[in-house]
Amino acid sequence: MGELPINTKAALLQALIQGEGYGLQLIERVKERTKGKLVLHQGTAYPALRELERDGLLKSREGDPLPERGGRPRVYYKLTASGQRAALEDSRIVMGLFTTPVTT
Amino acid sequence: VSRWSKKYHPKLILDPRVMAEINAEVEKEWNRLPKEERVRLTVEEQTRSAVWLHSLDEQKLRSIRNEAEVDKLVETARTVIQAHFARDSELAGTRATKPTSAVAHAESILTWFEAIFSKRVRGEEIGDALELIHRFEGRRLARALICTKVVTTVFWLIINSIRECASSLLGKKAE
Repeated sequence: MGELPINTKAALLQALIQGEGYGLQLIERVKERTKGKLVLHQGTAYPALRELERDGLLKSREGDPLPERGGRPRVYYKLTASGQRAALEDSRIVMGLFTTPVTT
Repeated sequence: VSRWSKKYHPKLILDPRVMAEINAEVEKEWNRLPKEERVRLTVEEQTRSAVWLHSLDEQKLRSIRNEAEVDKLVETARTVIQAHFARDSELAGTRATKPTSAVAHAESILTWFEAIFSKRVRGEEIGDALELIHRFEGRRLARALICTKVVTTVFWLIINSIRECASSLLGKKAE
C-alpha cells in the first residue's frame, strides 16, 4: 500500500471531530479509525497539537491530576470554530479527490 | 413503557428503594469488568462504564439509549454510586502508590528528566507516557515495553524541546 494521503495535523483534526481528547487518546483514536494504517508517534503528534493550538484551530484545557500520571493532569484538546471549518474542509478535499467526477 | 424503564427512569432514582436496587445491579455489572480495567479508570469513568454496561445489557428493557441520558443518570446517581465504588478508587490509589519495580524505575527516570523540559512539555508528554507505562503492567514482556517507552519518551522529549526552542527563537513554526 502506498503512502496515506493525509498528514499528522489533518489526522488529528479529524480525530477531534469526534469530540475532545488528550494526546494519548487522540493517537489511539487515529490508529483505531484507520485500522492501524496510520500510527502517530510522540515525535509528531505533540508538536502538531501545539502548533494547531498556536494557529487557533484547537484550544486546550487541563483535567484533574491523576495518580497513574504521577499527579500530572491530562491536557484535553478541543476544536475551535475555525478548527471545525478546517477539519470539514480537509475531509471535503480528500473525499473530492477520491470521488469519480460525473461526466455529462 | 416497560416495567424496567418505568422503574429506572431518572426521575425515580431519588427514591431510596430504587436507588438501592440500581446500585446493587450496577455494582454487579461493575464486578464483571476485568480488574485492570477497573484500576485504570477514574471514579467518574468507572461509574459511567458501569451504567453503560448495565444499560447495554438491559437494552431491550431500558429507556436509556444515549450518552445524554447516561449523563443524566450519572449526575443523579453520582454520590450513591461513588460510595459503592470507593473500594475500587482506593484500589487505584494503592496501585498508583505501589507500582511494580519497573514502573517505579520508569517514573523516577522520567521525573528526573522533568527538570530539563518546559512545564507544558513535561506535564503532557511525560504524563501520557506514564499513563501508557501503567497500562503495560502485567502484560507479557512488560519490562521490555516499559524500558523502550522510557527511552523513546526521553528521546522525543529532547527533540521536541529543541524544536520548540528553535521555533520560538527563529519565530518559525516547528514542522
